[in-house]
Amino acid sequence: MDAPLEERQNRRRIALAAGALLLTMISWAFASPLGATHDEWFHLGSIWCANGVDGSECLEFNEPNESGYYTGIATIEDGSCFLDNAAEVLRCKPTVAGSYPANFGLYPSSYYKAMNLFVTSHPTLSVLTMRLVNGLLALALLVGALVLSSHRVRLAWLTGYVFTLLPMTMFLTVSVHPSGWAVTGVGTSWLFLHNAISATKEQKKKRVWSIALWTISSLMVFASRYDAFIFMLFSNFVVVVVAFNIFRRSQIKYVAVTAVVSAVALYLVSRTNSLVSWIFDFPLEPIGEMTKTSTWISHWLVQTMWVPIQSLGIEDLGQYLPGQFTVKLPNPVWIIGIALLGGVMLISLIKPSIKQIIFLFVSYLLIAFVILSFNGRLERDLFNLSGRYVLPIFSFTIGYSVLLSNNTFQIMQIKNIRRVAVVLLTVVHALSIHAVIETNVDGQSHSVETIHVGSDAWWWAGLPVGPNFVVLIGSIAFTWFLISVWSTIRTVEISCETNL
Amino acid sequence: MKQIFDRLHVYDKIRFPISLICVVVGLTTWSSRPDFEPAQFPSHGESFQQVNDVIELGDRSDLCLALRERDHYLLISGSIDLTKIGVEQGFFQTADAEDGIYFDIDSGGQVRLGIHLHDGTTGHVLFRKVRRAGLFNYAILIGANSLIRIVDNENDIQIQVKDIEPTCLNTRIGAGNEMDIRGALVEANISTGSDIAIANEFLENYVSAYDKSLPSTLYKWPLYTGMLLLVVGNPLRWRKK
Repeated sequence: MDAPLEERQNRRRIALAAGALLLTMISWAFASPLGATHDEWFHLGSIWCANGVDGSECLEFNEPNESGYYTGIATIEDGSCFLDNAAEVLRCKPTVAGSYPANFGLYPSSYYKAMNLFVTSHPTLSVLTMRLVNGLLALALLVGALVLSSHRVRLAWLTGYVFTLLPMTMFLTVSVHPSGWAVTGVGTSWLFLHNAISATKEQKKKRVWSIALWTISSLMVFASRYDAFIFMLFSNFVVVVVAFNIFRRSQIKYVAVTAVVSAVALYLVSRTNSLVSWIFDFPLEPIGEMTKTSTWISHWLVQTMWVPIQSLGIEDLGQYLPGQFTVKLPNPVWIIGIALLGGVMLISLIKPSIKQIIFLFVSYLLIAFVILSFNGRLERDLFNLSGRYVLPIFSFTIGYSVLLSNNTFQIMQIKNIRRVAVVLLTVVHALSIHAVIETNVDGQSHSVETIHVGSDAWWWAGLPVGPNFVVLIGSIAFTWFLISVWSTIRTVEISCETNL
Repeated sequence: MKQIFDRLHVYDKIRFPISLICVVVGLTTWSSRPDFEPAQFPSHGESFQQVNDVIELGDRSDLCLALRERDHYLLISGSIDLTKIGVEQGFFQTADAEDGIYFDIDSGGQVRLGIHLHDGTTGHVLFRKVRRAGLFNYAILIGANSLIRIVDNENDIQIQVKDIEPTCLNTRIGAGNEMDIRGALVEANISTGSDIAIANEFLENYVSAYDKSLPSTLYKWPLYTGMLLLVVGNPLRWRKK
């Protein structure tokens, strides 16, 4: 097939994939009520009070109470009522002003200010709009990543994205949690930087677009979470080192200069921002009844791999609060997720490059460092550390490892395995979205029966569609996404000589 | 066979208009449904409406006396309008310290009925889990034979407990199980009778009337069909490929 024709076909496939992913994201936006993600009431309070007391959205802003958080008075909770429809059993209730924890220096304020643009007098619609805007942002970057990348880079990025997507990345991407922007930003910025660097002189348009999208994705990281800075700096640093082939050219001075600049930048940020300095302030001396240092450090060095893997469905989604539930995902979600990811890594390591090995080793150390940093503040708890803390770096680690592999084919280029993977990911997605919706509607999810809507009704009261239909549409759409997006990647015939 | 499939490809041309028409018909039907008028539980016996303060009825041993005669019953029905969830509240009681009958909600949203038993313990009937603020109806039928039936708009449960022996020395509406109400509004109709079959028929009539009053969901057929046609695509085209 000639290149322009293939390019045109790929554009069509990317457009179809984007449409299907949008529909999938809409389904996820409807899958949970307000307050579903971790600490979401804090984030909602921060969004409503992002501009301080304004007399309409934020009625009061108070000093920290016994919980240690600043609080804002705002009218947010309305029972997740979408439309007040007199024909429905469940009617909307007037919103009542309540006290919510709110951000004051704990997170960057830009994310909350951006989300505040979508606050209206109708909280549920506002949150839905925010979720969809965040989904659209991620989608726009995904389209950019697919269109601007060469076949090989697209394969690598797509592998990293798709095999780490379910369920937590998807859950956070289409949410009002700043981690969504962190994951989206870190997960795409490295790719745009790589494309900008690797674009030839003739590919000026590609370079300009790549720089523009790199700027957007980087800004998303800076606006969302302080800890995500580290991941972005690391991923961009790795891309620069590899793209300029610095090690092979033995231009160690560039590595040294970049490392020094990064270190100085981090130092300067830590001087002005207590949260960045907090990350580097390891509590090496146990306080109170903390686990002893050797146990704490060696436990987490061994467990490092476990933390990001939890996001594949081992860890519950959301946070338990009165009236809401954490979502326990069915075990096949993580079993299939880990199996597929293992397959990806094994195939990429059939013929590894030295760069790939070093990269994986350094990534492991970085993740271990971040885990120790977080866990040190959590009283050295050996059992509870959410995967979301290192989620932004997860897709990069997988994707870039695939990119650095010397293997001439990757798992999704093997036609039959691709079919199996698409089917399995479809199953994982369907189980995940069903579990999320059923738990939020019914309080628990132990099966894959039709979701029973009781008199408490569907969370988004007033919608013409019900939860079962949202599961169905979301599942079909995600399958379309997988089929379309992987059809932009050529398959290879595998033989014994393939790698020779 | 090939010709048949070729002809069926005309479906691809009309798929979008059909989807669109189905979706429009579905949405129009959905938006033009009449207002929902729920069937009300018929009034019976004494009526109480608690708004702010607890209604103190004091010693109402006459209510518990009904539960000592064969085939007699105690029927309590009404509605509870919860303004918030996540807090423990008592809705009503007939005695203090779990000596009688009480109806309450725990912090997890579990609504339950407690009733004092002959052996001195308390029997519990877990009724429903409430996850959002709002109004719900209830009807509790307690038979002298220790058969308890609780009905609301979606549940109809019957539980046989051990020998019941509640007292009614301190009957209160708006408090129960040593907890006062916290923001909810309670309506209660209380009656006793000598033939439990009549009370059961009373409940069945209500359940039937409520089911009939529920809003129509027929609009879902065209709406869902239209949306599915759009999303599924054309399987015939796949075959052609």
